Parts: sequence; structure tokens; C-alpha cells
Amino acid sequence: MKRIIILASWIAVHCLIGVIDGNAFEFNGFADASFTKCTNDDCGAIGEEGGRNGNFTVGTLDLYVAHNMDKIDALVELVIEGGSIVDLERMILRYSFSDALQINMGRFHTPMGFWNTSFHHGVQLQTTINRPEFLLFEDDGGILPVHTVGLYLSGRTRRDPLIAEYGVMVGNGPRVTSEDEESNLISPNNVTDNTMGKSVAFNVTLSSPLVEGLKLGAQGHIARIESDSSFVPVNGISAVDVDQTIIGASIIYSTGNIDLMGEYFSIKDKDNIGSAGSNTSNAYYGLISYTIADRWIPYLLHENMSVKSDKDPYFIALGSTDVRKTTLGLRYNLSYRSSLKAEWRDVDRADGKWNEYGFQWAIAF
Amino acid sequence: MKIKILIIAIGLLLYENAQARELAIIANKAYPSGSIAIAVLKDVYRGEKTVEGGVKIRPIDQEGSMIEKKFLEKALGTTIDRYKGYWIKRIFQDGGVPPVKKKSSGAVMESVKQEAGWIGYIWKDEVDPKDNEIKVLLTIEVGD
Repeated sequence: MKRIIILASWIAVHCLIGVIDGNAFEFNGFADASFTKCTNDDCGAIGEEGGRNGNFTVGTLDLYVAHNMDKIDALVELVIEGGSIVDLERMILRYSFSDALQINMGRFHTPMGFWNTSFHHGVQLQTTINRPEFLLFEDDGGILPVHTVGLYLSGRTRRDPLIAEYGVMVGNGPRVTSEDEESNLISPNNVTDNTMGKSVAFNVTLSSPLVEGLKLGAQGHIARIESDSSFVPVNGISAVDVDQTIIGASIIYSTGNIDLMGEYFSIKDKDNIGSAGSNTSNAYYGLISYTIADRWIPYLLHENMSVKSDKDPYFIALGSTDVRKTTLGLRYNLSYRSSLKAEWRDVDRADGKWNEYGFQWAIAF
Repeated sequence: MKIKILIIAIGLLLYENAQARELAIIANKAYPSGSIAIAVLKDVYRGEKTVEGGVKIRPIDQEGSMIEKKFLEKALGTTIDRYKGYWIKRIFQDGGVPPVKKKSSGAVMESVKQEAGWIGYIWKDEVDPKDNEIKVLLTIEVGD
């Protein structure tokens, strides 16, 4: 409740400052509500939360402000999750030297692949109800450091017949921590860095008018990840200290009404304090959709996450398991600002197999 | 004789109507470039190109009009809904400024005359050849 009051105060002050300055501040946002139910008795992780019963869920209420002052841009994004938790998801200050060079500072989504840098927390923007499981946000149990606090250079340049977009960043490395004293998660280290080495990442995307609609991307991320004092020991692991290297490749292809999207990530963890050595895990997804009359979009999403959950202290600490999921869905655009989605999913996890279905109503305002 | 004249008149009328209408991409006389390629025009209206020769580009849309629909279809290869959806996504991703909205070609021309970086679209037959404060960068045939 206190956080909600703080948020309301922040919004009020923000609007007041906007009025005083004569600036046209405008709040925009996203919201969604869902229903999910699994069809089997053995629903694994979702069963623990009453998946067999069926759950109505208040999704994310995302509020953001984007403001331009000539060469300076500011973007602030606040998210209320689960009806009560307020998070500052992004706070980016940007100076544009040119289209080919912008310098950004603050908290941003790590330049890693298409999904993470395109849809952010705006559920209305993504075709599906959920993100692929390996791209979940850190506090939702994600395995990748999808947020970073640091410095980020980005830009876009056209040298016909090639268009290149890039992002290069340095920031606080993530840490493994616990917020509930029961399980561990990744934290982007918002205020201080618990290791000397900074995380470094890059993202490059190439496209060409010669092949309209095709984008190819490559990305990498290097960080030293250590646990902190609130770490919860799990399966004989009392601390985490790994050098992590993530490399990946992405593809987007849009032709006519067909959209294809796929990403692959390889995650290599080198254990610095134990005997686990180096372990490489991988994850990927493929999404195909077909748009009919700008309204109806049937789609198919297949995702796979294969992690060394028995050897790699990083994944042991996070409690990650192998997941294979196929989602068949239908999206209906009520307008360009609102959509209804219905999905059927086949879930195969290390802790069980089941089917589930879900509905979602998402809006942008 | 009267019938022949009538037929010719109708023919001329039909011929004129059959001529595809054209859009003119106009800019301030001080705009750093004398022409613009359609691919670059797309980049400008998608917020991916914001500077030309050191000058900040400010694109203008004609909101809710037939000319906007034609422009989006022929120049950008998209629809009004997809374009609006694109800008929601764009602002959310990267910040930035969407094209300014104007209600008429007259309002577009007035704005273009104000600043070097302003760029907009009007019907080609609305361009006044004597107006030396505006230059035409590109014309696009859009059909009827």
C-alpha cells in the first residue's frame, strides 16, 4: 500500500511539474489481465499455485513517460506487478549525437536479442500471452540478466544496401540473491556492484532492402556473477561465483502476412569456487504467425530450455530446469491498442508434463 | 456535331479522372537535401532517421485524411492502424518523437515554411510553383 501511495505521489508531482514547465508530459502505459488453467492433476510448478483450479491474474500495469528535449531523451517506466509490487523497470537518459551514435545511461533492458529489446513489459506489443520462459524477467524466475544498470551506446546506420543497428553496453554485473529467504533470483544490482568486473554486452542487427522484412542479429554478454549474503543454500551449493558468457543469434522475417521470429542463446558458466568446471546450456524459441485482415493472428510458439541443472551452480541456485513448451494461439486485435489472446500449451518440464490453456486481454493506453 | 462534342468532353473528363493522383513530399527551402529516396522517407516517418546534414528532421502527418491513408499505403507500405501501433511500440522502446499531426495540406505547408527540418506530404496539384519557400523532394503516384 505504501508503495502504491508513493507511486501515486510520484505521478501527481510529475504531472504538476509538467504543467508548471509548460511541457506536454503524457503518461502512457500497458495493462493486462489473464486466466490460466492446467488440464492435468500433475501441473508441476503451476500446480503449486493452484493451476488445476484455474487462476485469474492481474498482469502488469506498466506506466511510462517518454520526453524529448531536442537531443536529450528521457524514458521512465514503472511497473506494478501482482497488484502490489512497484518496480522501476527502466530509467534511461539519452543524448543523440546523430542517428548513428546515441549515448544512454541508467537502467535499461540488456541489449540481448529481439524480444528483450522490443516488447519490454508491454504485453499488448507481443503476439503471445507470455514471454518465452528463458526470457522471463529476473524477478519472475528468469535465467538471463535482461536488465542492466550502466552505460549504453546505440545507433543505426544505412550504407546501401545494408542497414546496421548496434548496441554496446557496460554495466553492473548481476548477482544472485534472495528476496523471500526461500529461493534465489538474479538481481541487476541497481545501486552498487558486488563484483569488480563489469558486465559487457553487444547486440548487432543487419537488414537490407534487398531482402525486405529480414533482420539478422547476433549478441553477446559477459559478466562475473556472485551471490550475496542473502543467498539461500540449495542442493549443496552455498554460494555462486561464475564467469558467465552468453552468445546468441536472432532472426526476424516478415513477408506479406507471415511473421517469423527466432532466437538462440548459449550460456556458458565457469565455476570459480567449486569443482563444477565449465558448463554450457542453451535455449531457443521459434514463433510463426499469420495476420488476417489486420485482426486475426493465429500463431505457433515453440520454446526449449536445456540447462545443466545438476552441475552448473548458477542454474542449481536459481532452481532452473529443462523446459520444452509448444503454444498454439489465436490473437484478435480489437483495435491497434487492444487485443484478446487465447492459447493452448503443451508443457514438458523436468518436474512434470501437462497441458494448460489461457486467455488474456491486453491494452495499450 | 453536338453529340461528338459531348463524347469528346466526357472522354476528356474520364481521361483526367483516370490519371493517377500524385503525392508531393515537400520540405522547407533550407532542407539540406534536394531530393529524398523512398527508403529514406520510410526511415524518416518511422523515426529511424532524425537528422539530415546536421538539421533535425521533423516529419508531419495529415491525421485522419484520405491523403494520410494513401501516403501510408504507397510510401510506407502499411496501414493507419499498423502505423499507429508501430509508434506506440517505437516510443515505448526508444523514446523519440512521432510525426506532428496536421489537419490539412494548408497547415502542412505553413509548418514546413517555419523550420529547415520540417518535411510533409500534400497532393502534387496543391503545390504552388511560385512558392519559393517550399521545395518538392519527391513525388509518388498513389492511384485514384
